[in-house]
Amino acid sequence: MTTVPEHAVDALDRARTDAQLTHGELFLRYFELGGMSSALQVEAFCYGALEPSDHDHDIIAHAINERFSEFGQNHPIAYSDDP
Amino acid sequence: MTPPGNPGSLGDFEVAVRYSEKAAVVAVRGEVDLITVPHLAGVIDAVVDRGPTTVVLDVGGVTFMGAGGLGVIASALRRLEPGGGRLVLRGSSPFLRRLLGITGLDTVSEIEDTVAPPDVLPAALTQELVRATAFPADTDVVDSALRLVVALAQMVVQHADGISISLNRHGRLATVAASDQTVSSMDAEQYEAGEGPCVDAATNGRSFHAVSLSDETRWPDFTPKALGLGINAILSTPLLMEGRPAGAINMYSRTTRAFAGHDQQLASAFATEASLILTHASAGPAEEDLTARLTDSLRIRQVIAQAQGIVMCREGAGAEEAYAALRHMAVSQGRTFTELATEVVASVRRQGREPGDHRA
Repeated sequence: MTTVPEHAVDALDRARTDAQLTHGELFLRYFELGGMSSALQVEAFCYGALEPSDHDHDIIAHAINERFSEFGQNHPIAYSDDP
Repeated sequence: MTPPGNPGSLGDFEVAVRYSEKAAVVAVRGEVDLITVPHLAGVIDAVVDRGPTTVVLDVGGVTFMGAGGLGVIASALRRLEPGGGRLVLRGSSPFLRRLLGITGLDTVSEIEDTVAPPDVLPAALTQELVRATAFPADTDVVDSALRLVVALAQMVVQHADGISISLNRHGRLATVAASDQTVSSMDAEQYEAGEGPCVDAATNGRSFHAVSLSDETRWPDFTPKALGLGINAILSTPLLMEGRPAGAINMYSRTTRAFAGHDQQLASAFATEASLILTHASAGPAEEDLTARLTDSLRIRQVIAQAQGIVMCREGAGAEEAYAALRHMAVSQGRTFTELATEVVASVRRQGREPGDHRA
């Protein structure tokens, strides 16, 4: 059971677009960071078609956040354990 | 009569030969391009065969000279030199002289300074480039085409002290062509700071012009570094791949307010040419490139798994708990996950090498 609210899942794909990552690039980064889901699953997580576990959500969020920090923005995507 | 622009047409290309006592004067007019260059080569071969001591190549009427024309000059030199003959270039434009300088041909041929015709349009040269890359190409071909664009831009944009092209590859900006090391460092400083005209142009798909860096407030981290390297003006123009921002062509100058309207038009023309090269070549990443990236990804993934294991041992934590702990550390220290994981793994290796350490 996940605790990530629905709007946060929705936000993933918008964030991915804002971070100028293609689905393929996001998956590679997710994979590098140790993610275990397939490219298709990650894409489905982004669109909200599948609900990621907290762990998966946080890896995707971190992949996007690292991309944002390359642009000088400070981690705009929330993690599941953010206070 | 052949209509202009018809494939195979020689257009206004003309070669005329005059002989004096010891010299042959070959006067060329029009475009020396892929189509006309064999004609020029044929004429010059025939002239050299007659054994004059001096061949004067009058290029005052040439409106465009591509790489093939330079090849003709080089081969004429090779044939004349052994017999003690010489080649004199007459009426070459400053632009052509710089091309000759780059290819080293200026040291072997004599160049007469006579009337300088208007400079060749840069667009005409890059058209050849685009023709050469008008099919899906691998990264090496694209990079070398982009390096050529940088070299041409450097020749044409008089106020640029340095030029580079940055591309977004695999979600990261990288410099694929640069006129010198200072320019590469300028780009790298921007990637590292995550700000600067180059980063903004490549990200937002519009031009960013720092007219005078000492008055600049948009990039507080990057600007002092650029000023420190003696740069005072920067013009970054976006490159688009299929309409989306894909990178930037960056022009740097030591002179404040160096880039006027004319330079901005040239920057935009070169950006368009580079964008065309990218779009033509963007049928997908080359297989080798993809393999290299995947190998890299696997290595990073392994380091992260090792770091995760180390934290699990140290803290008695579960896998996901350990992962979250590493992520918290990375975020709070402002480092990437990979950097942090690499250091965690390295710290264990260091401990393992300490004298008196009896762990297995």
